Amino acid sequence: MRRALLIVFLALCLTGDGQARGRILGLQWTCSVDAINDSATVCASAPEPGQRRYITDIVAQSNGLAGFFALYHGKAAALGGGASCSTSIAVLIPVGAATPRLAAAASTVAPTVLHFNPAIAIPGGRDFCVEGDPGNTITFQVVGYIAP
Amino acid sequence: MKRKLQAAAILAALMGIGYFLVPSDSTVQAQGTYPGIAFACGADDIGATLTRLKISGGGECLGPVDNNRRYITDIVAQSTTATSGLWILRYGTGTNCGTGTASILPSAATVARLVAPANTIVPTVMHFNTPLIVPTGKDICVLGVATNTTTLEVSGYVAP
Repeated sequence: MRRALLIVFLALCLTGDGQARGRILGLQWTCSVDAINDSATVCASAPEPGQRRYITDIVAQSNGLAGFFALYHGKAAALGGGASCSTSIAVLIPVGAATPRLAAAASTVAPTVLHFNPAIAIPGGRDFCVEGDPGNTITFQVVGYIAP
Repeated sequence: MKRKLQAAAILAALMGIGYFLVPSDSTVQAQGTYPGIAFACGADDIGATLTRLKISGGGECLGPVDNNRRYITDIVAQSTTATSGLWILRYGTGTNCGTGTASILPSAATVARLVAPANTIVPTVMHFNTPLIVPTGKDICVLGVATNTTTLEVSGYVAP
């Protein structure tokens, strides 16, 4: 009996796919902002209480020369904060950076494409903002899922 | 009873092994875990005219019906010239997505923003962990730029 259960367990392990690419582990969400400069801009507001946004994919393309970007979370006006995550803003990517550090590829080369597996979680109750480059505006697409 | 359980266990194990033996041209993609039917659509040499993607053989890549949607997991884009081009992926209905047009990627833009690299370097390749979802009944179209046209391949799966 134990051996049989063990074999069943192993079989289930073989067929399991973990966090396989293409599977959505919650409610899919995506947001985009077009041609933004160095002002933090709300891309997605905080989901319902008890839920969080998870980021799995980012596409960033400069509309000129390569520009720098960063992703933040904070509280926008809708949550009693200031505009554009300006209240209690914190860096989401790259954590610890004092200024945008990641390059959005120039408008002549393939876009910057980032994948996260496991996903990066935005803390609950926080809006999600992106910030571009003062000299070269950047267009973003961010994809992920919403789950507890 | 014990023998029945063992037989069931062996069958389950064989099914698990069989999972890895599914041929790559299976209806469901080789990675095997997508909850739908695989699709691949493309468009070649697209300039500054919004153009509906096609399926292999020349048919139209029409939006699925019956509450099914296209889930985009992969995109490949390349310029047809030695100079990079730009593109944007959009959806809509009617001739070349001319009705109810909206953007998929980048969804905030209405003009071509993403680069199709020159045909002397590797193409843009995107693999989405979380797929982009095209609303039910909507066709997928691509808009490029006039002078350095884009060749694009979009793949994923169809599911509710």
